[in-house]
Amino acid sequence: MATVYQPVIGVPQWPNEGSLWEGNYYEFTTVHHFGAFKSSTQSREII
Amino acid sequence: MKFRKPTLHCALFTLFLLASVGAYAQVDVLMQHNDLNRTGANLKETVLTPANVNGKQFGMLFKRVVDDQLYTQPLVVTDVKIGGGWHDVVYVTIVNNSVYAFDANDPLATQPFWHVNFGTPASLHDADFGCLDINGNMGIIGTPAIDRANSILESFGVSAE
Repeated sequence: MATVYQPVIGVPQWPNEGSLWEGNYYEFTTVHHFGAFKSSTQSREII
Repeated sequence: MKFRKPTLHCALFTLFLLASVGAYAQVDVLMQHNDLNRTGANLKETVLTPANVNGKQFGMLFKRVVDDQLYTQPLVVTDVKIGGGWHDVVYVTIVNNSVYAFDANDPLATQPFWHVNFGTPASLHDADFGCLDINGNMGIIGTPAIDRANSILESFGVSAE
C-alpha cells in the first residue's frame, strides 16, 4: 500500500508556483488564493 | 438554473458495461470525453454494438460507495500494477475533494485500492461563488486528466484555506 503524504502549500503565486513534491505522491502545482479559499491543481500517482 | 439536490450523503458510483462479457476489453480513458477533441468516442471498441446494447445484455455491473456527489467522468487505466497485482483501475473524483481508485472488473472488490482527500472543499454556501449549478461541496467538480507515461493523475479543486 502506498504511503500517503500530506500536501504542501507553497508561497502563493499565480498562475504557476512550480512543483512542490512531497514524497512521490502528490503535490499542489498551482495555487490561487481568493478570500478564505484556494483553487489548486493536485497530483497523485495512479498506483 | 436548477439545483441538483443530494438525496444521500454517500453517493453511489456505478459501472455500466456489457454484462455478458467476462473479460472486459477495456481501453484507457485518460481525460474527459476520451480525447483532446472531447469527442467521447472509443475508436477501439470491439464488444459493444447497437445489437447488444439492450436491456438484457447491457446494464449495471456493480456500485461503489463514495463520500459525496460526483460531477466528473470516471477515468480508466488498464494494466496498472497496484495492490500486489495487475489490474484495470477506475479513478473517481468527488466534490468532497476525494479521489478513489477502484478495481474496474471485480464485482467483489468493494474497497478501493486507495483513497485520498485533498482537504476541506469549498461549499456553495460558504461564499458567493456565482455558481448555482452545484449544491453543497464544490471541491473537485471537473474531470481530472491522467498522464499514463508518468503514472500521474492531475485534478483541480477548490478548497477552504
